[in-house]
Amino acid sequence: MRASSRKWLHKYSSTLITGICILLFLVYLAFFSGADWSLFREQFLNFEKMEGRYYIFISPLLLVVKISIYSCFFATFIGLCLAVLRSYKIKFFDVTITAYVILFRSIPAMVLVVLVYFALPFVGLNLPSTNSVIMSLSLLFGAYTTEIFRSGINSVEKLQIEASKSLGMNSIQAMYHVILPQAMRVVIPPLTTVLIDVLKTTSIAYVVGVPELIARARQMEGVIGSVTPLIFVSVLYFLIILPVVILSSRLEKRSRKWSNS
Amino acid sequence: MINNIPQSKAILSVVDLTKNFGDLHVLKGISNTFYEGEVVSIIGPSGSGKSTLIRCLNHIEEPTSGQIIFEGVEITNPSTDINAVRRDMGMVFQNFGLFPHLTALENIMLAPRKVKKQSRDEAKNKALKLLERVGLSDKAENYPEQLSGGQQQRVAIARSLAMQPKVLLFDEPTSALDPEMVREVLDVMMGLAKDGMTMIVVSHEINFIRQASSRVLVLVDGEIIEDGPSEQVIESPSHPRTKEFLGKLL
Ligand SMILES: Nc1ncnc2c1ncn2[C@@H]1O[C@H](COP(=O)(O)OP(=O)(O)OP(=O)(O)O)[C@@H](O)[C@H]1O
Ligand SMILES: [Mg+2]
Repeated sequence: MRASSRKWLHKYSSTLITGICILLFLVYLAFFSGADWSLFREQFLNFEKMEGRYYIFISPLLLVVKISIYSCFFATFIGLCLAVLRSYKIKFFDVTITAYVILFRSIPAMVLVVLVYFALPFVGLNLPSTNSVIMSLSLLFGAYTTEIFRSGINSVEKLQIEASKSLGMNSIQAMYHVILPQAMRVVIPPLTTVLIDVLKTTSIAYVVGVPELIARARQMEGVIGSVTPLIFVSVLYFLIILPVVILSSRLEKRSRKWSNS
Repeated sequence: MINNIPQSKAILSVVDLTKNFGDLHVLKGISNTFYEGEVVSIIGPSGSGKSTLIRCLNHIEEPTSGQIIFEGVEITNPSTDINAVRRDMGMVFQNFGLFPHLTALENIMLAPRKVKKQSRDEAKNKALKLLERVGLSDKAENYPEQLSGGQQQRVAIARSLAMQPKVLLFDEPTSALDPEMVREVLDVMMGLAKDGMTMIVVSHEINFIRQASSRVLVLVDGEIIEDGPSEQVIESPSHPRTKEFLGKLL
């Protein structure tokens, strides 16, 4: 018991120190900085005024979660597929995929969402606003994940492919059983960063009228005359992001089992 | 001599094989036939094309021209299913090439399970026997990183054997090892030779050549300049370049 608690302390010591520092800073702000806290509270932490209004966030929250899950899934899927395709070094895929990556990394998210929603109907593709947001985010962030998976695959040494081939594996088996599991070790940290970005970028859905969290918070802000709803929504975002962070550190730990580099 | 069986069946034939890397002519028309149960050593100075030759044999390197015929199948023919051919040809690399994310046992089990579609139990039983054969029963659950170089190379040999290959190719299997680990790998290889495994070995380990190898090919500048029984090539080489090279080696 003793030993395990000491281990725990050791593991989380940096988090603990950061926490203590933030706490000390807040104490300084509250008691020693001479600021007018009643005004601050009224502006930013006025939860009394929000009473009875929390239900308004339920359906936008579900919508954001839905957009997030689909976008993260498709962005990862696109990146994985395109990176695998590129690894075969076929000229056609090389050129088109590179073009896709360059193009979609330079389009602002908001522009793409507007284009997909308002311009695609002209070529006969009428997507509901939620789906056009999912499609935009998947395409945009798919460009990033393509590069991430590509560098992951490239990080695996050539000898691994040769060893797989010489055991009679075909290229799909080698990719699935040998290359990708090793690539994951390199891929997971930057992939996590991108997926968190996907979650936060869902807020641009408001430009095509999707009733998402930030838009709702800003509306309520006008009604109650306080920024508190935005603070509340930030907490919701934190809760959405938390599982992604936990999952990613789990996966990372698993790959550390076979390599301490 | 353990494996002097010149009358046995041809298993692998090379006909006028060439390989260029751009303007560099690395193999300049190699022809040779390897027989069942033979242990052939390939020696030659650095850069002479030994690795390129052995890598062409299982088509990890694509030859520029010429034919390679394995058990009556022309591997150099583009319509040949090369993956199927490679199941019967094992290869052991200088730098082992074990899969770092799999344990020793899983390394050995992977190809039999996924390529030969063996059941988990069957593959595991066979893998455990192979680990015993290379003297590493106690390392089944270790990851490659936790093994010494000599142990890794023995696992790599066991991994090749798990596919029950008809011929085993080695590219300098002991030259990345610390001197004290060379012996344990050579012992395993000599055991295989004794059991009648057909082996083609790029190696300068003179003890291995003397004790286990029936024939020696001397490769210089992309050409086989000498081909004969090990004793004869080592004790009384006919080509001056062989003499010169052996002089540095012995
Ligand atoms: N992929 C490649 N691209 C270009 N040149 C290559 C390639 N692989 C090998 N070579 C060249 O081909 C020649 C023969 O190389 P190879 O590795 O077959 O020699 P080797 O006899 O195995 O030498 P060593 O004893 O040093 O292993 C060398 O000059 C080498 O630089
Ligand atoms: Mg070599």
